[in-house]
Amino acid sequence: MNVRNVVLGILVLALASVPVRAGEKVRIGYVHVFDDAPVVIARDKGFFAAEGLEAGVTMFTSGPTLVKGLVSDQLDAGVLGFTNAITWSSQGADLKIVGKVQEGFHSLIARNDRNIKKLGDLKGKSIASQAAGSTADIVLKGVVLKKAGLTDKDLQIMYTAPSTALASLKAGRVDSAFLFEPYDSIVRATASVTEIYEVGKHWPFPCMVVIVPGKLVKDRPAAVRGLLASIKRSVEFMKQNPAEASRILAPAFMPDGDLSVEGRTIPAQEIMLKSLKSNVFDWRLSKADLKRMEELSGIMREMDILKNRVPLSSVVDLRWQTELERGKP
Amino acid sequence: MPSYLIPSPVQVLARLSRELGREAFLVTIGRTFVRLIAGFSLACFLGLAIGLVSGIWNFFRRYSRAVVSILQSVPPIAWVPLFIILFGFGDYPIILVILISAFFPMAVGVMNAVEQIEPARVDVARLLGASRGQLLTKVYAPEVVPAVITGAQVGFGNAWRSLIAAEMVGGVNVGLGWFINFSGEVADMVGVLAGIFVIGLFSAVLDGYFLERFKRRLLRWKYV
Repeated sequence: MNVRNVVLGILVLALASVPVRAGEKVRIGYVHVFDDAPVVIARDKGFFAAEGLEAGVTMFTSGPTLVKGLVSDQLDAGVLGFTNAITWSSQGADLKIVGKVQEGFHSLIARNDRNIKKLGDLKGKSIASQAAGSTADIVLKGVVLKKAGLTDKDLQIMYTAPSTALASLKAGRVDSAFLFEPYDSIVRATASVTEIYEVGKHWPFPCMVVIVPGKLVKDRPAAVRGLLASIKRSVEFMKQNPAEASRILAPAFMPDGDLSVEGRTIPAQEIMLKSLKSNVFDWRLSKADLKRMEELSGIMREMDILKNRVPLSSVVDLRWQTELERGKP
Repeated sequence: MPSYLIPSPVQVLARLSRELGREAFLVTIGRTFVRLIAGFSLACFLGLAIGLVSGIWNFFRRYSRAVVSILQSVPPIAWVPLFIILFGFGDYPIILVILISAFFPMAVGVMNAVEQIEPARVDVARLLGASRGQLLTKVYAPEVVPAVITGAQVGFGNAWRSLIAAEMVGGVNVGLGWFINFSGEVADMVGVLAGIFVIGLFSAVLDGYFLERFKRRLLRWKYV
């Protein structure tokens, strides 16, 4: 073997080990909730570019809107609630869950003047929550209310945007609200309310996951790997540098800046830090997560949202997660 | 497009026939109609009253025209978050959105119609001793009937569209807008199209049959 062949061989190996070809265009959608903070970090810290992706990142106001972009070939990837992948797969869409981003943090907050001390006290009361049929709604009815022996007939559920839910709770137009971050931290800092239940503490489940169309998995597996590697970088960055992560996230999730409460100023970064601490971000789906996903699919069938059973193995594809866990280049 | 994105008309009609036999769906349609009737009736009444008073009373007209010009440029749906905070969740914010959307075409139409009444007719009535009330009921009101009909028809279209949009975002858990929104959330595109079909069908029946008959009855002298 001459020197020329050795050099050529090394070059070929080096090229093959590049995770994805430089500047590969990927259209990524994320939901404008704190749960998707790793996408904002990856975009602003240049983690997508570091993994060789030329990412076009688009913000959506809800997962069900985002998922329509995935099934109609307008997006290559999305970070959204896993129930979206299950519902669309049950209708015949080809979607794959390739990794996790966040565990479901949803907090049930009640006004202190409404005498709600525990979940059972919600009977006959009103609660503001996210869109009917969303992951939050499924968890609220199928897990939280069920735990207290209640159904949606026992109380009044008002479906609205989280910002309106927050304002309505503060104004006393509803008795309680089912909120995620940063709305949870904001309302607790600015109003007389108490958290009576937090899903993440009592019933942790994988909420935000990375969903890609089956077409991307087949045609551009390196892009899927690059995407997951970018999210991994983000999650690790947020854990190692919470103060800097808070500084990056504050303008994205609190565009109005610092909060002013009774003459006292609460910096937006402080709220972001609290939100970071209350949430659990992870890029890996564990066995316990998969079990929870099976449980939630069952709940969705009970609620008649899923007409037929969707085998999880047909929707979840963890080969890139396994590769990254093993530290493969 | 695969059928899970764009279902066939047969799928939609089959679903619709199933839904129409379901009590919950009939309650959904019924609640939408109750909101529509409440909001639209209020809008017609207030639009007619304010339009007539503005037409007769110059001082009032100057201010009401300015307010109408500013407010009618705001999309009714934009008021929803504010109304929820002011009046709470439920029917009131939705009815108010319908009221706003149908009120302006009616009020502006009547205002313009009153302004275009021949001054000679008003003067003759005054010379004959007509009071302000008689002027309103015997001179102005008959003159503005065509404007009322046009305002009602335009307002009805606005009201119907705003009602569905408000039900989608207004924090309610029953109504056709809510049904379409929920179907979209759970990947049920057949449900979405069935809801859209019901809206189109009922709108055509209400506008093309009931409002048209009402118009012909009020303006029967024109259709003889």
